[in-house]
Amino acid sequence: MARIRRPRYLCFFCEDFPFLDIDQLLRGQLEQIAARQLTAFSILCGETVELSPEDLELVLATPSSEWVESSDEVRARALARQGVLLIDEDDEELAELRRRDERLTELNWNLESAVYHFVARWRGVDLRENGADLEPPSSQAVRDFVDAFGAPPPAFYAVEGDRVELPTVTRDGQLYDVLLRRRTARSFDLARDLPLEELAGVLRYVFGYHGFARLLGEITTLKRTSPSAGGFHPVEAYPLLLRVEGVEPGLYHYNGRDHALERIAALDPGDARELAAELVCGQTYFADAHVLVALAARFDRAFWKYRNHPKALAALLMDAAHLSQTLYLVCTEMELGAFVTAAVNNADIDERFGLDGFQEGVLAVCGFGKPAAHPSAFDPTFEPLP
Amino acid sequence: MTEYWVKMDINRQQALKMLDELADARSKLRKDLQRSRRSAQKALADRGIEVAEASLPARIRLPSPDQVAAYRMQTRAIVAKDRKPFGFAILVVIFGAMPLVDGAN
Repeated sequence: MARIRRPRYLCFFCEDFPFLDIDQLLRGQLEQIAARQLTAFSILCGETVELSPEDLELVLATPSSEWVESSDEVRARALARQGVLLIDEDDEELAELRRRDERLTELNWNLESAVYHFVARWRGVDLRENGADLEPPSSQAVRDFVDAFGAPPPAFYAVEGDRVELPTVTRDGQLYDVLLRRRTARSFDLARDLPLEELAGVLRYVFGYHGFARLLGEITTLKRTSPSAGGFHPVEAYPLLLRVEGVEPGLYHYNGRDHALERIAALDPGDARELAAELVCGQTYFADAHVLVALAARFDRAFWKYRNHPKALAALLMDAAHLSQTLYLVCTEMELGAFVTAAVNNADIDERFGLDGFQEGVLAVCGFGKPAAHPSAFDPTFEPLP
Repeated sequence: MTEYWVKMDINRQQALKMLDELADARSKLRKDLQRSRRSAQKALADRGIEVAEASLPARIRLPSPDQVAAYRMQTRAIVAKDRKPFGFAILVVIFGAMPLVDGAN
């Protein structure tokens, strides 16, 4: 008899959907009532699974702390394949799901954070239609969107109450010039490669380590040009090089201590752009950059300190955001264009770079390169405030 | 004591299928529902809906297929909502920054 256990990383939702009042239906009337659908989100599979009352009964009757014999093997096996139960069988796929549950526990993943992270971990999302490059939306499409969802809340915001007028301050200097010129680039020069020195400069000043400190001789904290929760800097840079002088296109890891690129896989130049587009969900204007950089969190390092902590994932996302702003500033100073996007196929990127998604996984993708002479049709034109 | 009750164990896919059947003038479901109380009870039970004997009207009448079709059109998008977290209806408009997503999961 198969032995089963409930995964520790599982949550349930109950949602209403409109259906018919059967009593009224049989009397010739159409009346809407809310039917209920119970679902489970399996973090192990990254999927939402519809459950019947019998499924739920079996899952709730199964402990997560010990293996027990199953009274309904067929149902248990079906639920185990969906990551809603674990079953102690030799099947490779089922063994992998058991391993994932164990890894999440060992790595001190907070349950609610894991739900959020794995729900938002996309795979195979592509915004393009029939593989064509993205075009800006028509004015009709924008109108339709506003018609469907209403106008957005106002851009400028004020609260009632006494006001303190502040003096206008104007600062000069390179930092302030860079801050004011900073913007997202969506068009890159396809005719020129990025010089190796410029790649090296960006990587060193954004992702490189510039110091370390030992705490009690046991723990090493690091210094980058961006802040990090606890000084841990658990976000790694994984460049996808498309057009860099003297370096083969491919997937790399940037070693921030040794200031070196570690090649994970070479890419055919003809395939690299399409791969880049796939990884950023078909946002082809970003796939034209000379370099994309996947920002991957080392969950094991972060959660070693912030164990099962509900704020730990937020701290990681902030770390990634700090790095992307620093990337913008460094690139602006070097006359390069930069971008960052959270609309990425995290699961596909993880697989390409050989990350398991549980111990280490991608949060966002940024990129940079030589800007094109003309802006992208997607770029807004900013007017100065009156 | 007479008991009146309807119990439903029906998921989104089954609900959609049943709406499709009710919107089809020649469907077996419509025929079974209108043939007799017993066949109606069985047809509903086969679809995860149990109805107490007392809850069935003496003579079963159904809304017209056109009425059901109109209702189905109106609610289909909500009932059929894709439950896969990565499968929602994507991205209607891209205004220059992050795509706007209607991810009403």
